[in-house]
This record gives sequence, C-alpha cells and structure tokens, in this order.
Amino acid sequence: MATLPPGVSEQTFQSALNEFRNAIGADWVFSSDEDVALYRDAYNPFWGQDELTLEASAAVAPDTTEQVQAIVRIANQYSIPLYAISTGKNLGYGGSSPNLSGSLIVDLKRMNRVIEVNEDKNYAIVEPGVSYFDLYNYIQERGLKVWIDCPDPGWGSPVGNALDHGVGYTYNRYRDHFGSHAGLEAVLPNGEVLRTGMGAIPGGEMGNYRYGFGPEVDGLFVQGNFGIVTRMAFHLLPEPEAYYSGRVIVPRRRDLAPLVNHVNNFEDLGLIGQPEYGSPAGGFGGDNPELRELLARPGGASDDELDALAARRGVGSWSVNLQFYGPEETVLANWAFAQRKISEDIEGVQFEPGQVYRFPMSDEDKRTFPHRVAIGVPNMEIFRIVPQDGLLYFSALVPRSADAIFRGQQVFGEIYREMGLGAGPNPYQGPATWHPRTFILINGFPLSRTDGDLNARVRQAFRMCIDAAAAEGWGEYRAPPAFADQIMNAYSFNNNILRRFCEELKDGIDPNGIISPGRGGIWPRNFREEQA
Amino acid sequence: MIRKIYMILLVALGVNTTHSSFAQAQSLVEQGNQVFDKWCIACHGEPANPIDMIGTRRLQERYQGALPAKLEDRTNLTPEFIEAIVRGGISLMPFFRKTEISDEDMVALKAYLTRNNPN
Repeated sequence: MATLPPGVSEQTFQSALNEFRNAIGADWVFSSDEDVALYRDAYNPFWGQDELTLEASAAVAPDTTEQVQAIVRIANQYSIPLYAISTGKNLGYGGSSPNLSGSLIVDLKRMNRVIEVNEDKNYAIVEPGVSYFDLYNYIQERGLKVWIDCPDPGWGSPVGNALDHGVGYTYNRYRDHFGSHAGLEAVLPNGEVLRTGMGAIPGGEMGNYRYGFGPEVDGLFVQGNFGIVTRMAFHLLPEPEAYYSGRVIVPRRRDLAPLVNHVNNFEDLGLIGQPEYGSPAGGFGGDNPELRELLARPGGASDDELDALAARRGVGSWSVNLQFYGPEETVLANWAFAQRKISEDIEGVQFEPGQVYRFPMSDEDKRTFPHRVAIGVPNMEIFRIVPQDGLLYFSALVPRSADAIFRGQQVFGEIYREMGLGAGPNPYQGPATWHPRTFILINGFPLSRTDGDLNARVRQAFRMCIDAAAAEGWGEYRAPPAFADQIMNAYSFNNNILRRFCEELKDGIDPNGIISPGRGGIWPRNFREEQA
Repeated sequence: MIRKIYMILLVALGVNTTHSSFAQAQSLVEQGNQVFDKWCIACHGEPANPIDMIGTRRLQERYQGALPAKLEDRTNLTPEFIEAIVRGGISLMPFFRKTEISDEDMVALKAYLTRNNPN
C-alpha cells in the first residue's frame, strides 16, 4: 500500500491519479508498490528502519513541458505535493527521494532532448532527462568542437546537477555547473511557463546571456521549490588544443598553507582547471601502518612527528595536480610559472612533469586516459570509492585556507571517533576544490542495507557534523533530504532571515504548497503550521 | 546452433515461438545489447585503466575467477536473477526505474544476457 500524500484521502488520490493518466497517458503513471519503490533513495540512510524512509506516493513521467504544466495544475486541484527529479542519480545526496513522504515524483527522464548544441557560440540547451553521457555522445556523433564539463558520475543530468550546485573539473567558469548556465525554462507552481535570460524575449537566444534585465530569479530553482525546470542552457568550453597536468609535491604538513595560497591565485588568475589535492604520506585513508599507529596514540601526532615519518618513508606530505587547458605554448608556460612561484616559497618542493595531450583525441586514447572527467569525458570511475552498500556525503563549505582544512580534520575526526565510525579524516585529508571559490571538506559515511544500527549511528554523526560545522561558521553545500532542515537552519543570521524570506516567497507563488515541500529546508505554510 | 540457442531462449522467456522467427529473436538480443550498452556497460564493461568498471572489478573480487567478471561473458544468469538485480539493486548498484529500463527493455536485456546460456 503506497504512502498517501499528507491529508489526501485514498479516494481523492485515486481521482488525481486518473486525472494524471488522462493528461499524460496511463503508461506513464506509476502507482504500484513495486514501481513506486524504485523511487526510494538507493543509498538510503534509513535502511533497517523502514518506517522512517522517505517514500513517494506515486510517480508520473511527462514527456513535454505542456505535460508538466498539466501535472502541476492537477496537483493544485487535488493538493498533491510534487517532487521533481531529472535523472534521479543524486546518490549520496538523496537520489530520487522526496523531502516529504507521500510526495508524487515528477520523473523527467523522458524529457531527454538535446535541443541545441551551438559550436559557434559554445552553448548547449538540454532537457532535464538528458544525461552527461547523452550530451557527450550527441556532441561526438556530430563531431562538434565543444567540451562538456562533467561531474564524476556520467549518468547524471546537467540540469539536475546544476540545480543541486553540482560541479566538475575544468576551468572555473565551467565546472561550477549552475554558474555556467545561460538561462532556463521552468513551470511555475500555478502551471505557467517562465523563461529567464534572453529566453524571456520572444525570439531571444537562451544560450546567450543569463541576466537579461531585472532581478535574476534563476537561483530560486536551485535546491529550492519554486518551480520545475524543464530546460536549461549551458556555456560549453571550446575544445582546447592541448591539456597538460603537472604534479607538485611538498615535504611538510604545514607546507599546505603556502601551497594553498599559490594554487588559489592560479585558480583566480584563470590559469588552471580543478586542482586536485592529495597526500603521498596520508595515502587513501591513511593506510600506512606506522602512520596509523602514530595517529592512534592519545592526542594524536605532532606535525614534527608526522614530517619525520614522511621523510623516513621518502614521501611528500601533500601533492596537488595542476591542470592546464589551451594552446600548447601557454599550458607549458603556465606550468613553468606555477613551478617558479611555488619554488620561491616552499623549500624542498618537487615537481613531477606530465605530458601534453593534444586534441582531438582518439576514442582509444580517451578510454585509457587516466582521469577522463578532466577532459570532459563522462564515466563512472568514481564508484570505486563507494563502500559496499553506498554512502552519505557530508560536504562542508570551508574557507580556502590550510587552517580551515586542519581545523576541519580535527572537528569532524572527533565525531567519527566518538561515534565509532573509524578513524575518519586524518591529518592529511585535503580539500575538494570542485567549486572554484570555496573548499569542500567531504566525508563519506558508510551505509548498510542490513545493519540498521550502523545507519542510525551514521545519521547521528551526520547531524553532529552539521552542528559542529555551524559552530565554526561553516555550512553544507548539498545534502540528502533527511538533513535539509537542520542544514538550512544553520544559516541562521538574523533569526533565519534567509529561510524566512524564502518561505514568504514560497507562500506567495505556491499558496497550495505543491512544489517539492521541504526541498532546501523551505516548507510551505501548511506544513510549517503542522510542524509548529 | 545459434538459431537453436535463440529458440531455447525464447521458450525460456515465455515467448510464443509458434509465431516468432529467428530474426525476431536476434532482434530482441540486439535490442538487449543496446540496453546493456546504454545502462550497464559504463560499470560492467572491459576495464581500460586501473580505476574504471567498478561492476566488473567488484565481481572479479567476488568470484576470483570462478565465474567471468564481465556480465556479457556469463552463461549462468537467469532472467529472474537479472530482473531482481536491476529492479532491486545490489551492494553499491542502485535499482533502475522503468523510465530508464522499461519492462520491454528488461525482456530484451534478459535475452541478451542469457543468449549464451547452455541448454
């Protein structure tokens, strides 16, 4: 028996389902238990405690913007809360799960048209059901000289990813995926269609200019619940002539501070793509036995002890891969510049040169390329880091400094240890740098399909991390629905004016509260009153 | 021989062979190959570098050579098992919705992944 939308009787729900069937075709309304179960979060933090799982009531899969409009109008008529997904692959951040049990999923996967790829003006316009694989294949099949910027999993949606502040790997003006959008189309809570940017002018070019005139409202559709986005335009990187990646290795743990400052500057000068930090001394998870022993001591290890161990092992404390795109002459010149600047500041720094890759590249060379997302080739390599039954990502936004990194290691590491979840972040955990102007400290919490106690501990640790981050002045950039409220409430300046402002907007444009209640921690009035 | 396998396959899938042809069976397998290429191969293909093809790698770890790590090389997958995994997920592999792999696609995928099963 499916979960009903809150306050909606079985009879009313069945009437609504019939209306949906009339509007989009019976084949595209999914209401059986087995079909609806496919919309659960596949990395479900409530495994083992099914009564807490966020469940959909049913799902509808429209094929056109007009069908989305019809769905929204029916939902208003019957007070059915909707929750829109693009490809539903937001694994680790909620998958296709709604924030409110009983929501009706609007599955946009069938809206999978690449509307335009323009290689003269370097943009693409796509529907939400288009995946990065789809867009990449479309471009390759036509031999177009543009690159996509893709996140790690290639089966996600450029639209869905951008609308959850997803990120990628090339230059900063492309790898902030929402930041690289050029305009969008959305169905509003009353069923009307809105276009932004130059798309707001009849005959205008959506891929041209995002701001148009007047307030920019596009951000309301990101992690928000002000409409259902049905297409978006994105700027694309013209295929560069060359790619080069060189590795920088610094000997001491505290060398991270000047290293970060230099790399931040390279980033802000527009010289590099995503800088990939790592640690030869820490390895992946700090699996060196000597290091493990050192860290297990009460009080941990001092920097001097860590540096001595790294020196004995002949490994550096930190590494960063710098990526350069453009003409062959300039990528090599920029690498030389980076080496010169870092050498001036960090004694004992080493540089490992890479090789110049030239484009166009053969399919075989792409297949064996060591980090394909760096050259805009979507794939699924990232799943190598996913533990047995999936994970939750806790992703804190912290300032771009070594001090913040070191502090984060300490703050979140204590929670891991307190909750018995392993060692957690070690002194060599580096920053994730997908977002160009902030660091993300990302920690993956393991989940189990069978061990409900572990999942409960993970949820508690996740909540402790949110509070601990807030105490440092940090917040999260993205999270599974179960934690959205707590995260939004941490952005609490002036008595949570950010949330309250969004609630006022919500009540104004969605009086029946039907679009994704709870998304982004924003609840419509009727649900706020229930919670009060 | 191949024709025989297809016919056995059709029987196994509950397809009425009286009105089915070899060409139809072949077409179903080809359709299943396309479904596999769209939805499965990104994790279950041939590894090209040390970190890709997580599905193939995890199955290699699980079976240690006792069974082929690549699903396309298996000859013991049953239609029921294929459906259970695709719709139920396993380990880190999520389940697939019907807007991704439709019931019709599922029939074709089963035909493809069982095409080499022994009698």
